[in-house]
Parts: sequence; C-alpha cells; structure tokens
Amino acid sequence: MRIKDKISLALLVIAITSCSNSRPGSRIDKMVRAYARKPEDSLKLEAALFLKEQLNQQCSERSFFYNEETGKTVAVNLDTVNGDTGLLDLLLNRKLSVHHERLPDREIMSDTLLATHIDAYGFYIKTWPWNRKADKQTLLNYLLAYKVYDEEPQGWRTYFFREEQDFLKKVLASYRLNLGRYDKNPMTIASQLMSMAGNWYTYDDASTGGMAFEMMKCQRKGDCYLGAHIGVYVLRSFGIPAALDYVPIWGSKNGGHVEVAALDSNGKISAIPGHELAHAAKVFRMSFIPVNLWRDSIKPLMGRDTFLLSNVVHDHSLDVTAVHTNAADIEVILPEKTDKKIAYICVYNYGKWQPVYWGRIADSNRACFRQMGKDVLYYAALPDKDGFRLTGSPFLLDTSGRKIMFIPDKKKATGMTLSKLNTGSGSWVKKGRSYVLYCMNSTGSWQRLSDLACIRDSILTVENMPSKGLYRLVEKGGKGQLERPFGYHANKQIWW
Amino acid sequence: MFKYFPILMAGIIFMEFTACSSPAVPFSNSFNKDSLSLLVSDSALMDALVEDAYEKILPPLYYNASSTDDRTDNIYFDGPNPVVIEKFDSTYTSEWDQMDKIRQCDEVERVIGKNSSIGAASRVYWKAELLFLKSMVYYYLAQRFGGLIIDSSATTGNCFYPEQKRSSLSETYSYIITSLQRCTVQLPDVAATGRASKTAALAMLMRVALQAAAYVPENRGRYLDVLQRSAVAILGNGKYVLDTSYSNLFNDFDKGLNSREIVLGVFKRRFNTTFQNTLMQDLVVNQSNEKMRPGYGPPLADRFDGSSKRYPSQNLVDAYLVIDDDHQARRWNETSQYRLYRQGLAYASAVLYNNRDKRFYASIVYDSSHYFNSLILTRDSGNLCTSGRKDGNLISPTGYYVRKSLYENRKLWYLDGSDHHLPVLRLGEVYLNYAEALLLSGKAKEAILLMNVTRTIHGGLPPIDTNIPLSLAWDIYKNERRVEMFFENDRYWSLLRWAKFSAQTSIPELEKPIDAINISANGKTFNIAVIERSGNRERRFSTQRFLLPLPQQVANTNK
Repeated sequence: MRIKDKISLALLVIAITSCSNSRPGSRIDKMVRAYARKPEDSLKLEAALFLKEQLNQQCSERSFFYNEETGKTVAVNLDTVNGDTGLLDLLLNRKLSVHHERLPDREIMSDTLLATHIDAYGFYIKTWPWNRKADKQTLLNYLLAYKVYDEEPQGWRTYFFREEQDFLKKVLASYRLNLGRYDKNPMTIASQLMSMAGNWYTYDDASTGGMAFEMMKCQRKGDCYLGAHIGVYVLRSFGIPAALDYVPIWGSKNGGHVEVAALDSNGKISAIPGHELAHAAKVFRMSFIPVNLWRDSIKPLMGRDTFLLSNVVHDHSLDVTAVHTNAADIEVILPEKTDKKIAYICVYNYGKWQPVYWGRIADSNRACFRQMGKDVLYYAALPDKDGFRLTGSPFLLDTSGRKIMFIPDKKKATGMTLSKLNTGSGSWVKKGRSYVLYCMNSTGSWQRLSDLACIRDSILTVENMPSKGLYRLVEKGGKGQLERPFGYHANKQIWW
Repeated sequence: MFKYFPILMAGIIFMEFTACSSPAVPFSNSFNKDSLSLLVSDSALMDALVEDAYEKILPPLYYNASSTDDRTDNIYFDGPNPVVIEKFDSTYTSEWDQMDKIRQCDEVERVIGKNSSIGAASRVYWKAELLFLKSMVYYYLAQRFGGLIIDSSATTGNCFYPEQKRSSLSETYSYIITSLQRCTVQLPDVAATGRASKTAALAMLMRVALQAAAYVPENRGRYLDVLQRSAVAILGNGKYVLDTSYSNLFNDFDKGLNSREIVLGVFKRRFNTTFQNTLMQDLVVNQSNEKMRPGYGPPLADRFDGSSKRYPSQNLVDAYLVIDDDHQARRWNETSQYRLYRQGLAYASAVLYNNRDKRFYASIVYDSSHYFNSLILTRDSGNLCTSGRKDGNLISPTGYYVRKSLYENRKLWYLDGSDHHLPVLRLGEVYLNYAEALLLSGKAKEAILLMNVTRTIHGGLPPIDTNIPLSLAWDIYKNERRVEMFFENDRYWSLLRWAKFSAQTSIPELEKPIDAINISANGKTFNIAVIERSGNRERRFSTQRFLLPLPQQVANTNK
C-alpha cells in the first residue's frame, strides 16, 4: 500500500472511531464547548456542565452475566427474558452467574444516554410551568439526575417518556388551550403518574434490593424500594422533579418503607398526597449529588468506633424528616461523661433497639439529635467498637415534643384488657395461646410481669399490674420479634 | 515520508474539529429537537384530545356494556339485577346521563375549529371521528330509551327534556345513520388501533341499521338496504379477515391488538389500568386452598383473588353444539354418545363437554377443565363448586365460569396493573348482521353461506346445508349469533330486535329462570335444574323493556 493510501486509511479510522459512542462519556467536553457557543443552548450547557462534574465523582453498581465454567462475560438481552422465572431458567440452562462491580460513571455512561438527559432537561424546563418555581439545585439534583443512587445508568427516561406520551400530550393540550382538565399543581399530575407507576410493576414483599432498569423491566416485580425507583423514574421522565424518600426504621412500627416525593406548587420537593411517611422516627432523601456529611463531618469524630448508620455512610442521604412528619430536636443528658464525640439515638424494631440517627455530644454528656419524629420511643446509645451501648432510659418524644419517661407505679395497680401484640391486622391475641406481659424497668430491661393464657380470641385480661409503665406482650414459643411496646391509657393499648 | 506529515496532521486536526463536534447532530433519543417538535405540535395535541374523547366514551358505553348479557339467559349475575325483574328505578340514571360525553366532543370540535394551523385533511378526519363518537353515544341512548333531542348540547343541555322536543325514534335513527354515513366518507380507510376508520363506520352503520329496522318498521327496507350496501363495502375491500383462532380475539392482548378481525376495540393499557378496572375482576373466582372447604379438591395450583359475579348459564352452554360421530353438529343431548350414556356408570364430563364447538372452550370454564394453572372441578366437593369455600360464601351457582375475555397468563390481583381489551366492532358481527338482513329478506341460502363463515372458522363446526327452510335457518342463525357474540353486548339487543321483527310481546329467553348443572362428587351423575337464588324465578318481560322508561327521579328533576 502506498503511503498516501495508508494516510487515507488512518484518517478514515480516526474519523470512524471519533464518531463512535463506544467510548463512554467521551463527548461531554465537546458538548460543553458546543453548547457554550450558542446562547439558545444555555439550558443544555447548564445540564452538560452539571453532568460533567457528576460523571467525575459518581460511581455505579454494574451487573454482568458470566459463564460459570469458562468465566467469560456473556451478553444477555434482558428484553428477551420473560420475568423472574425466565431469568432463572436462563441462568440455570446457560450456567450463568451474575457478577457486580463498581465502576466510575464516566466509564459506563454512553454519549447517547448523556445527550438524552441533556435534551430532556431543556424540554422539561421550557415545557412545564412548575419547573420555573424550583431552584436550580432542585432541578439538577432531582430532575436531570440520571439515577437515584448507585444503580447503573440506563435508558429509563426514554422508556417511560414513551409510555407517558399520551398522558403528556393531554396535559399539555389542557394547559396550552386553557381547557382546565388538569390542575397546574405538579402534585396532582404526580399523583396520577404514581398510579401509573404502580400499575407498571407487581408488588411483591420479597426484597429485590437495588437493580438497574433493564433488570427491573425484565422482572417488573418487587417491593417498595423497587416501586419507589419506578415512581422516581416515571416522574422525572415526565418532567417533574422527584426524589426517593425512605424510612430506614419506622420506630413507630417494625420495618421501614420507601416512597416518592415530588415538586410541589411552591417549588419544593414534598410528600405526594397519599405517599407521606408520617409517624417515622427519621426520614431520609436520596440525593443524587453527594452530600458528604459522613466524609466531612462524622468520620473525623468516630475514632476507632465503627459508624453503624450505613445509609449515612454512603453520603447521599439528606434528612427530610420534617417534610413528612412532626419533628423536634431531642437533647439527652447522658448519665456519665464520655469521650465519645457522637451518640446514636435508637428506636425499637423487631424486638430490639436499633440506631436510627446520630447526634454530636457537647460538654462530654449532652447529646443533641436533630429533627426526630414525634410520638416515637427513643433510647440513646454510644458507639462501642463495632456495636453500640444503650445509655440512660428509653423515653417517648410526645406529640408536643416533650420527653416522657416511663416510671412504673407499683403502688397504683391497674387492670388491663389487652387485645393485640402490635399494630398489624394479624396480631390479635388468640384463644388457646399463652403470652408473657413485660414491663420496662428503670435500667431499660424488660421485666417479666405475668404469664397469661388466652381463653377468648382478641381479649386478654390481666389484673394488678403497675400503672404508667411501658409494656410488651410476647407470645410464648414465638420469635419475640414482632411484638411492640405499648402504654395503657383509658382502657386501651397505646402503640409506640 | 516526511513530506506527508503535514497532510496527516492537517487531516487529524480537521477530523478532531469536525467529527461529531456538534451536538446538534440528532442522537437517537426521544428528546431531540425533531421528535419533540412533533410530539408537542398543535396537531399532536389536537390528536391527543380526540384520543381522550375515545377514552371517555368507548370504555364506559361499549366495554362495560358487555355486561348487558347479565340481563339475558346467557349469564347468571350474582348481585342486584333490577332490569331482569323490571324494577325500573334510579338504576338507569347512569345510563341516561351521557351528556358530558357529547359536550366533550363538542368542546374538542370547537378547539379544532379555532386552530388555524392545522391542515384541512386532519381537521376533516378529527371532526369525522368526533361525529362517529357522538353517534356511538346517541345510539347507546336511542337503543335504550328511544327518540332523543339531537341538538341537545346547543339547546336544552340534555337528550330527553323537555319531552316535546324529543325527536321520534325514526328521526333519531335517521340522524345517527346519516351521521355514520358521513363518517364512512370522511374517515380514513385505515386507522390506528382503537381509532375509527371507514370500516368501523360501516360496521357501526350495519349495527344501527339492523336495530332501526326492527324498531322503525316503516323504514325497514331502507335500513336493510343501507346495511347490505355497508356489508358489501366491508367484505369487498378485503382489509379484514376472520381470525382462525377465536380465543386469540379475546384472551390475549397482543393477539387482539394484531387481529385482522377487530375493526374497532377498546384496548386498555396496563400503565393506565388495574385489574379492578377491567372486566376480568368480576369474572375471576375468589378461592384458594386456604379458603377451600376441607375434603374438597383437588388442591389448586393458583390462588384466585377475583370477585366473580358473572357465571355462564347452562342455557348458554346448551347452545354450543357438539360434533357427533357422524360429523354432524347437534345439541349435546341429541348425540349418539349421549344416547349411550347411563347415569352413574361413566364420567359425565365426557358426554357433556367433549367435541364441542371450539368457541365453547374459548368461552367457558367447566368441570374438569383447566383454569389458569389449575385443574378445576365444579362438581360436588370440587375445588370450584358452589359450596367450595369453608366460610360459606357461595361461588358459581351454575357450574361454570367465564373464560372469554380472560387473560390467564397472569394472576389477577385487583390493585395490579393489567392490559385488557374487548372488541367493539369486528368482522364476525359484520357477517352475522349481513346474514340477518338476508334472512329478513327471505334469502336463506345466501344467509346460510354467511353464517357458515363464523360457524366453520370460529366454531370448527360442519357447514349448514344451504337447502334448509327459512324458519330452520332462522333458528340456527339465532343460536350461531348467541355463541359467536357471547359477552359482547349483543344478545340482549338481539332478543329485543327479534321480538320486534316477529311482533312478539313476550320473550321467553328473558323470562325463563336460569339453569345450572349439578354434577355428583364422583363425576358420574348429573342433573340440570333451576338456580334457586333470589330473583331467578322472578325474571319477567313486558313490552316497556323494548324502550326503557326514563328514571322517575330524572323526570322529576326536569319537570
């Protein structure tokens, strides 16, 4: 081949490869330069600059299939797999396993996906009046954001935008033509979209954990965590800023929950009606932009102790308790001075106390916990190597924000009619079963008060118990996890 | 070599600055400029408003209306069913008050009229669609209540009051027919799924003309002529063909969507629909192994969480013919197999359910058949028999469940999303409407050729001899229509129409109590008996059912 031809061939190769989308994130700088040249692309420029910054500081969990025998990576088109049974068949038949690895977003974000998010951002801001009320940070963090937390960025925006197109056109037609068919409040639209999101997947109690969108699309089944991801995707695809808000532990009942919050008519991210996380000890919001609270403010205070709040450690959680429920600050005077710099505040969950939040310790014995949900039982604790040590006594933060201690009054005995073990619908006491009634003593331990045999469904009577206590009714022979603490007032069990 | 270096460098620099440097190069995403400008153009938004009108009109009036079979001997409806016992009270308010739908069409028409940026072709098309939809509303009302105030939205605000402004039934039907005839000219030959086309207008025209021919005898000839010309137009263009699988038409969303038989259908998408908003909610039984009475069985492979209210009657099941040993189609109790059957000696299910019309298997769940993933028994002590629940709540009193229009590939849970569809107009009905018009004209031979199409293709039955007498052809036709159109909002109106054609003042099919089958626990004996449940023996018919009286409370409000 002549040199001239070789040069031509080399140029051709350069031309082809420089146009390829195979080098993820390679064009963001060029996009920024190009958008900067055109004033009409100012929104795109804003989006591109933001994404450039985030690509450089964010990582995602990428899953891939590999053959267990050869160890080689295998490409699987999940669009051709029919649900979780189809997936299981595929794994078994082709001897495949799933492997996860954590990769920088700049290595996995394709240019097409970047362009989609940037173009969509411009469309949303120009099209929907509600976005003009939101501040820039909200729009970038909850509308442009290409993922909720660390799931692999995939094509959810395009997918749901297509699914929503008919609805989008109807809303837009109503707005543009002043037909009054749809409320201008984005919350009203968000509520309708949440119903659609709920229809898209089938609720299943079994926890699915985090997964990328292609896998969600394949399974279309999961718990509230998956449901909230779908909700966020559906709302953001439509053009409504949306966030995933979660309760790691309720405190007022066992377990936790995940929900979706959306932009309200005042330009703030608020609870969607019917999707509030009321009566929670703590509610967090998943911020796309790292908040770095752990890295900058907590880690330096921990010394040799392990910080136990994993949802704070990942540095994407914002405290939004007051958005969902009545909250107040709690100050706890520790019984002894300590050299620890932080304390935990615990709630009762599945039969034990578990840390739900943290607070700084001032003056070696004064722990302050910000914005804790009211009408919840709490118990302070101190870090202790890889665990924690409860300290002081449990208390109720009542609806007025006061701390109420439980001091059982043995002199003033009371009778009680008990009916349930917790707030759940299947928790009624049952005829023929035996129970133990406990009361919390001044050291924070459950003290056995009485053994009880139930002779009538849903009713268990007990006499001469100390009044004003914090009680717990536990079924004998059970795991002792589901039973919740309660008080007794006006002949009723009051649940906490 | 070095002499080429500047060329190479220049080339590289050129490439770097030109190759894909502009993000204005459209990416393959839905948000690029071109896609978005199409999406939010005036034209797209107008189209969305028209689409919205479809959603407001067709599902409530023509999808939910499949439940008019509740009023007939096809279905035992387990719930308040005042029409069948002629308790005409406020029940009809919801059927009577459809003005919001007319107003919505008018509003969209006004919006389209004001928008000057839309091309003439689109304008004509959308206006025709709105006229089609209004005709669907007017027909729904005229079919039930008679003459209407046609220009109601411009004048009185409702279709019935003041009464003196109501047009005669003849004028009303003429108006609807004229409107649909306009649609046949203005609508496009082919339309998107779920939208009206020229063929949809023609098919609707046939349905309206046939009913009008019964109710307005003085114009019968004209209406039947309209019907026959419409039929020829549809069958002549060959765009639609009968589906070879009857179950594909009803029991699978994607197959329904791609069917070449469905001319117009309601297609509800999962994104916007939960099971409880589909017809399936009232068809699927509520039963599970936990809820099953001890000793009943076999164990189910599914947990059924529906709230079934509609059960196919034995009367309907009798209508599905059996292919006998001599390859002739007969009623099940006239077959050679049945003549040899002795109670107590052999399984009843074989003689009752083997070799039936293919539509039987696509439409009915019966003893010893599969339902979702379970083998079900409706016999005594069976897992889905009437008394199969230990809490005492009774399930199917007839011994059958509806399979037609049920998707059995996913468990039904009322809050879960689900697609669902129901044909509103399809070629099968076109054939039968045409056949009926020919029978009315005394052309039995031609009519039989037409009814043989659905009978052989959908039913898998041998064709009917074209030389049978007219009266026999009518009997066979009525049976054919019954099984072909079960649960498609047809039988009630057909029974009224046939009574009108023959000037009957009674309709035994609407008066006779509904029958059930009772099969013994060992499956070897059976009997057929009237269902002894509230209202079943009080079924009645009087001539005021031909056109329902307006609800009294509505009349009082408008006095």
